Amino acid sequence: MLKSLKKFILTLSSFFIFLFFYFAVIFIINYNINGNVSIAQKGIVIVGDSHLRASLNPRQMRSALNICQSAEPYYLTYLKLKFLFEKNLKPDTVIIGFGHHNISNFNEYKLKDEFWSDRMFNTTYLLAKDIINIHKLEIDYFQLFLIYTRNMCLIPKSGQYRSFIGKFEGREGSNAINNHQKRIDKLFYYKDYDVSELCISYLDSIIYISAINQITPILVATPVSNPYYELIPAIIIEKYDLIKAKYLEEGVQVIDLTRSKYSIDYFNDSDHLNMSGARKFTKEIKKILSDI
Amino acid sequence: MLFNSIDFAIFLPIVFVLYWLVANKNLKFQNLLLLLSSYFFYTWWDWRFLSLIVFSSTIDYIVGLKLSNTTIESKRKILLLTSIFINIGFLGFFKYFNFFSESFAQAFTLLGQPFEASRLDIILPVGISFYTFQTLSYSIDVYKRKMAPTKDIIAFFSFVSFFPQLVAGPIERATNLLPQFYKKRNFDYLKSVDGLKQILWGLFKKVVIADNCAIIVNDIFANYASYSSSTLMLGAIFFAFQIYGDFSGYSDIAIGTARLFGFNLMQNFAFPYFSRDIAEFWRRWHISLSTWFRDYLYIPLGGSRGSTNKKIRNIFIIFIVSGFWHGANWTFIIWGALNAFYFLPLLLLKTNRTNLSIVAQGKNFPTIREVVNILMTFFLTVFAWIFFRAESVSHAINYISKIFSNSLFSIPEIFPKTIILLIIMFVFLEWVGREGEYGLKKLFLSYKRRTRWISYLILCVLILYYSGREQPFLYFQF
Repeated sequence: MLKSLKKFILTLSSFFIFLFFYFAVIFIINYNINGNVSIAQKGIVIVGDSHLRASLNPRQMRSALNICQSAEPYYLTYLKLKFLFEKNLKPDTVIIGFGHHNISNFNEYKLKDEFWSDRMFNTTYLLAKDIINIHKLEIDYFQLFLIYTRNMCLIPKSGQYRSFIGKFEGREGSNAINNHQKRIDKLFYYKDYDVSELCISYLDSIIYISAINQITPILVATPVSNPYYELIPAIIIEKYDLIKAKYLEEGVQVIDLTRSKYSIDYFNDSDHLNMSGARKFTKEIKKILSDI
Repeated sequence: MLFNSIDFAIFLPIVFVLYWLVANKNLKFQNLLLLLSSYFFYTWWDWRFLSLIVFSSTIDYIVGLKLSNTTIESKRKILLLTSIFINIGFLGFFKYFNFFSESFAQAFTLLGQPFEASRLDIILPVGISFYTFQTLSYSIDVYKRKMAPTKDIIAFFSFVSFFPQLVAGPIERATNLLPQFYKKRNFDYLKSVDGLKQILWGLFKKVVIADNCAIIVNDIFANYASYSSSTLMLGAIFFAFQIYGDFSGYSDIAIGTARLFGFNLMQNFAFPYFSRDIAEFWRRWHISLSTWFRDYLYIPLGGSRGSTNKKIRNIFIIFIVSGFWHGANWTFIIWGALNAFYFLPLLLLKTNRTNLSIVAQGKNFPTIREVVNILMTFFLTVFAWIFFRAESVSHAINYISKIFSNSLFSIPEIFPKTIILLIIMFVFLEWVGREGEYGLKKLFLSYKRRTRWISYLILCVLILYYSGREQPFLYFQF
C-alpha cells in the first residue's frame, strides 16, 4: 500500500512541478512583454474616477486622453501616473478629478473590502509591487496575490497596463434622482463619515509628481445635484474647502463646478452627468482652460 | 467549507495524509478521523448546527438498535415513525415553517378571514435536506429488514456526516455506504487518480461553466423587463447549464474526494442533457434523490401498478414532493408539477422505459431523430427551469410571457461569445465522454502521458483563470 501511495504522491508532485514550470514560463513571458507601454502622447491627460470618466469627453478637446477608472482612489491614481510618467507619457496638463467623495475615508477600505478590492486589484494588479508599499492602509494581500498571479501566470497576455488605463464612458439616460442618501452612504460611509488624510496626502503627491515632471496639474470637480450636495457630511465640506483654498494659494488651478446649476436633465444619477451633461461640462471646461 | 475554496484545498491534503499515513493501521481510527474531519468541515460553516447532525445521528442509531431488538410489528412501526417524525420535523421546521405559515395566512385572507402570518428568522442549516434523507434511509432499510443495524457508533456517525457528500449529496443509501465503513480500506493508486480527475472535472464544471453562466443569468433574471425575448431565452438556457455545472460539479468533486479515501459513492448525474425523453432525463438527473423518492415514496405508494388514476396520482405526488424538497416556494412545486405533466404521457403510453441505453452508444454521432429528441427534451427542461430559477411564480410567468413576444428571433442584447464557446467545448467533451461515469473519465486515456497532462493543465489553467471569489453552490440553499 505504501508503495502505491508513494507512487501517487510522486505522480501528483510531478504534475504540480509541471504546472508550476508552466506558470513560471508564462510569468517570465508576461513580465517581459508588459514592460513596453505605448500610449499616444497627448497635451492633456484626465485622471480620476467615474465622475470625470463620465463627464470629460476627450473627443471634444483638441489633444486629450481620458484615463479615468471607476472608483479609483487617489493613491491608485498616483501609482498609475508614476508608472506612466516613468514610461515617458509627458502631457502638458493633467486634469485631476477633485470631488468631495475623493477625500472621504471610504476610499481607505477599497483595498480590503471584498467587493471593492476585487474591482481595484483587477485593474491595477500590474502595480502590485507599489500597492503593497502603501503604508497606513489595510490591504487584502492574499486577494492581490491571487489576482496578480491569475493575470500574470496563466496565459500570455500583452498590453496588460491597459487594464488600469480607463477611458471616457458617457452615461445614457436621465434616471429619476431619488437615491441621494443611498449614493451619499455609498461614497462617504463605510464605518463612519470622515475625511481620509491618506487620500489628501496622495493628492499632494499627485500634484508634486506632476510638478517635478513639468506638467501643470488642474483640479476639476464635476457638478452634482443640489439634494445630493445638501447631504454631504459637513466635516467633508469643511475639509474640502480648506484643501481647495490651500491649493489656490499655492497657485494650483482648481475648477470647482460642484455647485454649478445643471438642470436635472443633465444628470444620469444624483452625482454623475449623462451624455448631454458631459457635452455641456466638457465645453465649459474647454472654455475655462482656454481662458487660463 | 466550499469545495472551490482555498480552505478546502488546505483541508483535503491534510486529512488525506493523516488518513493514509497516520490512521491507516486501524479501521476504527480511520473512521474516527473521518468523523472528526467531517464535523470540522461542517463547523467551518456554522458550529451551532452540528448539534442537529449529532442529534439526528443519535436518534437513528438508537432506533436502528431498538428495531433489531424487537419483533413486535406495532413497536417497530412506532420506532420508525419516531425517526421519521424527528427527522422530517427538523426539516419541516427549519425549511418549511415560514412557507406554511404564510400560505395559511394567504389562504385565510382569500377566504375573507384576515390572518397575520407569524414569521421566524430561521437560518436553514446547510445540507439538512441531504443528511436527513440519508439517515432516514438507514432507519427505513433497517425497518424493512434490508440491512442489519450497526452497533459501530463511529461508523454510523461517520456515515451520516461523511464530509464529501454531507452538504449537497449524493444522498447515499445506508445499504451502499455504511458497509464501506466496516471494511478495511487500502490505498488504491488507480482509484485515487480517478478521484483526482473527477475532482478536476467537477471544478471545471463549477468554476468555468456554472459561475460564468451565473453572472449572465443573474443579470437577465433580475432585469428581464428590459431585455428582448431572445435574451430571456438565452438566460434560461444559460441557467440550464449553470445548474447542471453547479450541481453535477459538486457531485463530481464529492465522488472524487470520497474515492481518495477509498469510498465509492453513487453516480448522481449521467449526462442528463443528452436524454431523449423526460423519463430518461429523470433517470440521469440527481439520481440519488430520484431513486430515493422512487424507493421510499413512489413504490410504497404503489408505483406504476394499479389503476390509471392511481398511476397519475403517484406521479404527481413524487414530482411535487421532489419539487418541494428543493425549497419552500411555490415555484419549486410548479416546477415539479410541470415535470409530472411532461412525464405522464410517457407513463400512460408505457414508453417511459424506451431509452434505457446511452444515446448513440459506440458511435460518434447521434441520428437526426435522436438529435431532435434530445433538443426537445432539453427545451422542455429549460422551460421548467424558469420556474426553478424565478423568485416567485409571477416572476416566472412574466418572464415566460416576455419570451413569447415577437422579439424571440432578434439578436440578443447579451451575447457572451467566450462563455458560449466554453459551453460548446464543455458539451463536446461531455458528448465524447458520455460512456464514462463522468465526462473526463475515459477521455485522453489512450493518449501518452504528456498529452494527458497537457489536457489536465489546460483544465487547471481554465479553472484558475475563471476563479474569482468563491461562489457558493446553488444546492447549498436546498
